[in-house]
Amino acid sequence: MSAAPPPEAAPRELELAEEEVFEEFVRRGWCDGLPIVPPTPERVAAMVAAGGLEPARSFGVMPPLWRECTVEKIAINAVMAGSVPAHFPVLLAAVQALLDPAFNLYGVQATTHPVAPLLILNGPGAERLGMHSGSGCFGPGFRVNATIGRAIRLVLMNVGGGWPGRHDMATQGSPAKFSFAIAEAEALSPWAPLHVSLGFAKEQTVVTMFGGEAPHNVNDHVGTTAPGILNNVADVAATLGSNVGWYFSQSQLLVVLGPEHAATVAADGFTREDVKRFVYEHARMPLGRLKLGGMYGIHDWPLWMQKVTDDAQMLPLVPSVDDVYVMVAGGPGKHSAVIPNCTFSRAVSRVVDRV
Amino acid sequence: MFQKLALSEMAALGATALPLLVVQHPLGGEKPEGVSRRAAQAVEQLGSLLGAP
Repeated sequence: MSAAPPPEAAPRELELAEEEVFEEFVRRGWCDGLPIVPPTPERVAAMVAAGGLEPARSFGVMPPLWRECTVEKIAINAVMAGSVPAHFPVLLAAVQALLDPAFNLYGVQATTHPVAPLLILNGPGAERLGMHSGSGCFGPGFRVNATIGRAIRLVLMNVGGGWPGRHDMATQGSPAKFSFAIAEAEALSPWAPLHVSLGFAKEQTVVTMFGGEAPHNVNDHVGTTAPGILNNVADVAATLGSNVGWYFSQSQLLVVLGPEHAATVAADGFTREDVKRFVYEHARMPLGRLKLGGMYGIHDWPLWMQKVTDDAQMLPLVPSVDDVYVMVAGGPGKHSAVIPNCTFSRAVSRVVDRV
Repeated sequence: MFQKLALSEMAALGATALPLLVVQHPLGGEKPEGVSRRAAQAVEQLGSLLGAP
């Protein structure tokens, strides 16, 4: 099958029967392949109203086609994704985070790497909206997560022009590109919420966008100590095939601990800072192993790493302890996840208003 | 393969008249002599493009 056709220039209004809309949108290359909710003027107006901003208000141009990213365009895609107006403030904050230069959305949209922006929602708004943080949170079954994540993808495709095989050059893509949105299980976390650790107030609702791969599983049904579990986390993080560590300066790791793993780690006296430090110190590979493949030879390391000659020397994957993000999500069970970033995009957080 | 992206961006930015220097894909996995050959071709193209009216 060839890639989806490019979006066409089109009139502002189409007169179609409801059942014709999906086929027409597919023909024009305006969908992700799944059925959409037709973005009628009434639905779009209701969505815009929930954001409290003028429809023509632009947050800037969105790469790779550098189109104006207006409130109205975001609203159209939110309707198509199945979102409801109550979700819209989260989307507005998320899009502003994506357009922050530190996120490097151009790189995220156009790379061959299978990166997708993961939306993490923290704070009281997450519970009010019903954003799921429990069992199966990365998977299907939860409307708020599914539709907010899908709305982000439709914005990236229809406003930014990130069409697979044409402007989104991902070699294989990722299922995370359909929808990738979770909340933190704050009530089950032994530590302060992620957004508080990033400097926000507990009472604020905050969206954090992390340009990551799909989750890599950490299975540990045996560990009864923090080092036992976190050595496993570090091992999952340290793989030759990851971008993280090769393009060093912007490498980041997101560790999503399942609540049971988090409880075991905390019971051993570990704070979030201890977890970050442990992963930073142990998610490493020896120089001799790094020479086996991956990106060795076109890596971008700081001078001190380039000067290492001892093949047994363990080299870090990320520049600092603060480039390890730690949060808690999931349900019962002994699984966690590591999400490596794409290494040319840094996580960006924004406060969500009106939620 | 990335030429499509470049052409679309040029169109989006109203810069279709700009010349385009194309380096054959892929570069990754090429041996050093292959990369040198691509670099030489790119320099040659650049010279032609700069000299074009």
